Amino acid sequence: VKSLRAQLTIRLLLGGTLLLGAAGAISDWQTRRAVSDEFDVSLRNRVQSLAGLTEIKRGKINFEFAGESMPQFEHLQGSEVFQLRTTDGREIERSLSLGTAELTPCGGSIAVPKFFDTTVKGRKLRCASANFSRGEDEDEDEGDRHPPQIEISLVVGRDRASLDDTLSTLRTSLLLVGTGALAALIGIVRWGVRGGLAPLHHLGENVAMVDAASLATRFPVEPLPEELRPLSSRLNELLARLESAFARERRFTANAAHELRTPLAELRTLAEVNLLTPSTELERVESWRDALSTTRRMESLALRLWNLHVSKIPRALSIANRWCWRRHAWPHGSRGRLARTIAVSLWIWRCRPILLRTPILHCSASYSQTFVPTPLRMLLSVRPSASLRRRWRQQSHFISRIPPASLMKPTCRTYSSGSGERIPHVPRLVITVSALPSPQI
Amino acid sequence: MRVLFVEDSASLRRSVSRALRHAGYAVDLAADGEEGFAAANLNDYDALVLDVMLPLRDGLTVLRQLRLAGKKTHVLLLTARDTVADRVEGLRQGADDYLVKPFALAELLARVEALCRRAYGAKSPALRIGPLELDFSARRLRRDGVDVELTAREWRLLEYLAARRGAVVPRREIEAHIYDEYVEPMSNVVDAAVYGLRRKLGSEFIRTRRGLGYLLEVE
Repeated sequence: VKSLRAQLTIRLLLGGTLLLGAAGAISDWQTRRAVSDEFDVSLRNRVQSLAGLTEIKRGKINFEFAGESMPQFEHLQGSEVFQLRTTDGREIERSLSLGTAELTPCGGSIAVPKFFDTTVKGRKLRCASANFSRGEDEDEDEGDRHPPQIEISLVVGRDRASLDDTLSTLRTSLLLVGTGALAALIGIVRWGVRGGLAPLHHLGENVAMVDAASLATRFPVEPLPEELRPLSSRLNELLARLESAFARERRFTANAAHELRTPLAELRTLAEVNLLTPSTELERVESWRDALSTTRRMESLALRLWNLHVSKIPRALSIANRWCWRRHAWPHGSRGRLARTIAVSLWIWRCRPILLRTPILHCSASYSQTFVPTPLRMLLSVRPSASLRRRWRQQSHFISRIPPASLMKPTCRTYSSGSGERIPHVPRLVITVSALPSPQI
Repeated sequence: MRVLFVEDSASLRRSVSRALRHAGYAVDLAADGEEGFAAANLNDYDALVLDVMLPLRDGLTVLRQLRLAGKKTHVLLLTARDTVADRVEGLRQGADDYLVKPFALAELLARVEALCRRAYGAKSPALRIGPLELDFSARRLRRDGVDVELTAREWRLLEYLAARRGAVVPRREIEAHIYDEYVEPMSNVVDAAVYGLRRKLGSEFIRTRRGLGYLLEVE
C-alpha cells in the first residue's frame, strides 16, 4: 500500500478493531460472570432454604417440604430438582421433578455451596451441593444430655436453559453493538484521515503543479498545520533558489549569446565589407588582423564555457569545505585552542584556479561565520602547487575582512598519487582554513 | 549625408565605417558612450548608429540624454540583445530603429539610408527634379534618360541639395553634412564640387545666392 492515506486508514482500522474486539471480549466475560454469579446466588439461597426445612425429631430426620410454595419441584417438567440424603448414602427426600435420576453430592457447605454443571436425562443443570449436620432438639426432661448429630447431604439443581438463553442474547447484542461500532469506526477513521491529511494532499497537489514555467509559485505557510509549515517554508526556499538558479542560467545564456554575437557580427561584417568594397593593401592586412583577433576572442570564450561545463570541482569543494569547518573549526574554537592551525587539505586538480576562486572564498567566508565562535575570525590560506602559485598570490586577497598581511605565505609542497608516484605537472591546490583569535590576526 | 557610428569594437568600427563611406556617407566614429554623446551633441548628423553596450556610458543613456538635450537625429540602435523587452526599451528611449547583431551589412546600409531619407521627409528612394532622376539606393543620376557619372563628393553634394531642394543651403551646412571629421575642408571645396556638378548637369539647376548659399531648383 503506497498511499499514506490508505496506510493510515488500515492501521487505524486495525487498531480500532483490535481495541473493539478486546473491549467486547472483556465485556462478554464480565457479563457472563455477573449473570452466572447471580444464578449461583439464587441457587445458594435455594440450598439454604431447603436445608432450613430439615430437622431431627426423636431420632428421625424430618424434612418439612411444602410443595405448594415451591411448585417447580412438584412435577416432572419442573425447572428445579433436589435430592436430600445422609452422608452414608441413605436417601431422605427427592423432588418429583428429579424422577429417578441421581444427583451426585460434591461436598460444600451451606454458606459456601459447591457449584457444578451436570446433565440429567438430557437436561443441562446447574447444581449446588452442600453438606450440613442436624441434631436432636433438646428436651427439658432429658437433662444435660447432648443430642446426636446426623450428617446430611443436599444437592439442588436448576435447569440452566434460561441462563444460557440470557447469555446467548447478551452475546448477540454485544456482537451487534460491536459490528455497529466497527462500521462507525470505519466511517470516522476515513473522515478523520481524509480531513487530517487534506492540507498535505492540497500541498502535494500544489507541488505537483509546479513546473519550470511556474517557479514563482509560493505556498502559503500560515494556514497550514504546524507540522507542515517547515515543509512549506523549505519548499518555498527551494523554489526561490530554483527560480534564482533558472534566472541565473538565463542570464548566463543571454550573456554568453551576447559575447558570441559581437565577434560573429565583426566577422560577418568584415567578410561582407571585403566582398563589397575594393580594399587597399593596408586595409587587407587590417582585415586579417581583425579576423584573427576576433577568432581568438571566440576561442577563448568557447574554452571558458567548456571549462565551466567540465568542472565539477566547485560543488565538491563546497561540501568538503563545509565538512572541514564543521569537523575542525568549531570543536577547536569552542575549546579555546588558539593559534593552532586547524586544517584540512583539499586536493583540487584539473580545474582552472579562476573557477575555484569564488566558491572557495565564498564558502569559507560563509562557513566561518556559521561554525567559528564569535571571538575567533577566519583565516584562509591557499597553497598552490608550483605551476599555480603565481596566480594564487594575485588572488589571495579577495576577502576584504582578512588583512592581507595575515594570510599565510604560499608554500610549495609536493604530492604523490596513491601508488607513490609523483605527479609534478598536475595542478593542485591545498586549501587550508584556520580559526585564529582576533587579536592575532 | 553624415553619419555617426558609436561602437566599442574596433574591428566592427573599421568595417562598418568602410562600408558606409563606400556607400557615400561621411562617417564619424566614437569608441565609447561619452565620446559618442559629445560628438552627437556637437554636430548635426543625419543618422546615428549607436551600440547599446558601450563603455563609460551605455547606448540607452546616451540616447536618453541626446533626446533630453533636444537632438532630433534619427538613431539606429545596434545591439546583441534581441529580446522583445530590450527592443521595446530601446524604442521607448527614443530610438527610430533597432538592429540585432550579427546583422547583414546590406540591411544596415538600407536602414541607415531610410533614416537619412526620413530626416528630410522623403519616403521614396527615387526623386525626379525636372529632367533629373536621382536613385538614392543605387546612387545613380540620370538626365533625360541618360546616365551621368558623378564622383562620391559630387553625389553627396547633389544628394544633400536634393534633400533640401527649394531651400537655400549655406556653405557651412553643406560642409557639415558631406564631410566627416577626418576631412579638413578647404574654403573653396564646396565651390569646386558645385562647379563640377554644374559642369556635368548644366548650370540651370544649381543657383548661387551670394552671401547665403546654394539652391537646387528647376524652373
